[in-house]
Amino acid sequence: MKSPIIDPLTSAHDVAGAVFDPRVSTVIDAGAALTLRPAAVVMDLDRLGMMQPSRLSFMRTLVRRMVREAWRINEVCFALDDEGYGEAIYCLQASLETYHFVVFSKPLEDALRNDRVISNQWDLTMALVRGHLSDAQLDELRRNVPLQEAGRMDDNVLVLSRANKSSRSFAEAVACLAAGQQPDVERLRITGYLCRTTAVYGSGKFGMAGWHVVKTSCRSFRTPFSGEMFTCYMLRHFACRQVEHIARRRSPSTAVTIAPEIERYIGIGNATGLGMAPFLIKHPVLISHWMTQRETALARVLNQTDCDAVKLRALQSMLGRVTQHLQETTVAADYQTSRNQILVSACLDLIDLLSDATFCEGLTSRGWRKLQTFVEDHYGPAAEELVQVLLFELYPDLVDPLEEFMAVDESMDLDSGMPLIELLVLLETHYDWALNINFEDPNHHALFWYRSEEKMEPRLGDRACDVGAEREMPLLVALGVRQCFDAIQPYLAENPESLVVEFLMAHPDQLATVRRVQTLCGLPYGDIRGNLSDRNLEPMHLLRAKLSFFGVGKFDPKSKLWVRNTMFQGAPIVADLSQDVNPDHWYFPTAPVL
Amino acid sequence: MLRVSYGELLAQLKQSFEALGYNLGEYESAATCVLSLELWGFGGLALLEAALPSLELHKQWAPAVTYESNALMLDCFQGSALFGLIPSIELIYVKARQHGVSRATLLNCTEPEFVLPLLMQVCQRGYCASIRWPSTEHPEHLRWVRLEGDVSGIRVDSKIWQAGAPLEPSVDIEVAQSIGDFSPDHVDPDGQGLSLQAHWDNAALQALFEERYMSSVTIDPWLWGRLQDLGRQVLVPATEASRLGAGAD
Repeated sequence: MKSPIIDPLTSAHDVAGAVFDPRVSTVIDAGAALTLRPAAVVMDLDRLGMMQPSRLSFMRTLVRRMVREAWRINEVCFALDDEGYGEAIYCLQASLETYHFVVFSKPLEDALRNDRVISNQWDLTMALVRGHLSDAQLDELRRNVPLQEAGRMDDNVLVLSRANKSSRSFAEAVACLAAGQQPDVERLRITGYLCRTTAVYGSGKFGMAGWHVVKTSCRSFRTPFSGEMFTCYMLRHFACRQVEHIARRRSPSTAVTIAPEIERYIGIGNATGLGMAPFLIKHPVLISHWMTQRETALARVLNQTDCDAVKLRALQSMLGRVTQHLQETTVAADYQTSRNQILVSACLDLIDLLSDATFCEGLTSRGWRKLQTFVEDHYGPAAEELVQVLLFELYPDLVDPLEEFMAVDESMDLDSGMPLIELLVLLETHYDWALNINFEDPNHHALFWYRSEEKMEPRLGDRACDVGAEREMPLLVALGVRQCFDAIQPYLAENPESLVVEFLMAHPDQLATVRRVQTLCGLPYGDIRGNLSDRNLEPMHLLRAKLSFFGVGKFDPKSKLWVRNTMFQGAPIVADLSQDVNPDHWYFPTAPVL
Repeated sequence: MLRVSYGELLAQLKQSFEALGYNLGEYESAATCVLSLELWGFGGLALLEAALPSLELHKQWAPAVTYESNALMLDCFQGSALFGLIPSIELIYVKARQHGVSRATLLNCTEPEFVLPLLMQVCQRGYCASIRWPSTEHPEHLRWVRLEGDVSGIRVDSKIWQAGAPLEPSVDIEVAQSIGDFSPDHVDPDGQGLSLQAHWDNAALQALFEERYMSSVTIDPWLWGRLQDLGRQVLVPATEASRLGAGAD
């Protein structure tokens, strides 16, 4: 199945007899027009903050590939001392390619253990390297990987990362295993992991191979962020081996290894701050592409009308699983707890309804769109987003092929010969959401984004009281649109026949906005519809959107500005990759029953 | 020499140019121009090193443009072609769209090679371009590059010609809908008393591009350090208060 070609000029009216809306997008999918949800809905910032991981998330895609291609992961070095310090190397054979995962473990005082990107010491540092590993390369890695941002890599290194132990669950897991017991499931339910990664770098940073090299010469990691996700997967594997090793050294006669069902329930923690937010603004073509694949999957699924008893029972079962997952999820923020509880209520309601013959009959006769409308009307957009990704699970053949189309060449095109009046119309029709913001109101222009001199960490400042506004990052798309619009109007009044190029000769500072608007009018999911300088901005929504594409679970905001979450919890473990396991049966994982 | 990745260098260039005071859009394009020239074998980093002192000294003015029909004159005020030329090159393109061919002369322009990537973007829309300029180091050498393109790629042909005496220090550009629309000067300077010194045809330049694109970029550590120093000017000093702005507990 080919990737759909987006055609924003085709209206819903033309293709589906729906109400005319020039902002509704359609895709040409397998020769037929498919109506997607309007960008006004999909790219609304609040809605983005409700996104859920799905079959198209990068972790899910990676695990499917690992199982499908029977990747082989072998330990080639495991040189740790009694306390678990030292180094380990794993070799990955993926189809005809060879990679190595190298991890260094060093002592770290508890007081120095910090999740922030500005930290400069960690329990674990690691790298993913392509090809065979020579002694000289290994020496280079020993010198540079523990330094992280302060080190230099070569272009055989694809990913660089670091992690800290979870102070509670790591020590407890060691103690349990040493005593001949399995790690406490209740503890794992609360934390979900033994180690937590605090940064994962790829795409050519610090001398590593650039993304254009990875996607063309590393077939196994050709899809976005798959190398980064695999590094986290290997960290999960190493953390389990490390606790087993320490337990064995501590009590050789009583120590046991982790039971597979427990190991599957151990994920990898992740702490993420504002660093993810600028990515979403700086890569609108890529974001539009990701969203288009996801919305295409949704449209394909919603077009299905085979809501038979088997599928309805499967949906009911998935809702039960989600309910249990959410009930087992412990988060710090009250508002996140209450959001989870609302979703639990919706799931329980739907489970009941799916036992109701009349309700099911209505679905059987009218299809999944009926269910979507019902969920939206009765439980709101968060439940709607949740049910959508569950529906994806019912149609893997419709959804999974889209995973191959998540990469795109990013470029923005300038149409300098366009009549300026046309550009004005584009602004009015595609960026009305931006033009509706009153930037004269200080509350709508209150915050600014900047890079700190501490490791260039993105931070948010308040114009009223913080320094650095003169160095703010150019992330305010809506403000840029407003300024461009305000510059065009008087110019056009004096030069009604003018072209875009003539306007740019007079206003060269508008180049970026003009290019963005002209490009993204054809890619309607490129711009996030929100004001990133609003005093009431919820940056967490931005983080959630990107993290949902990664596929993280147990979203646990620690403040408005950073979040902890869990990766790969429930996923097949390394030993499963050579078995005939279902690579997809780990969404919304639940605690194992021993 | 230091090896950096293509993406790393691009990010650093953007940040450094932002620090020099250029706008979003302009600094992104300038960064891409430097890298494009480096990949195509036109020495983008060496040209940048030459341009940096004047760029650091003062932000460059956009050129003064005068035109009549499809003939343009641009005065760059001894500024580098790295900045400020995007609207002008786009105007040349628009005039070629209207008239079949357009011509421009750039006066007082340093590092004119930086126009090449902008012309490549024009050619990606299916146009042809030709640019001639006297070498800065050897004023009797005429450099001539012809570009033909479409949406699938660019064909590049580059020659150096030897003149009997130093040449006029102006840059001549033509953009046309087809090669047949070029003036005789831009078809081939062979008949103008010039002798061919060197020639890189499309195959050679494409091979160089492919090789460089798939490997790291080699950069003088001094220049890399200079770019990093410049880039730091967009960073905000850290304070306890600013750490709260990243969610510190």
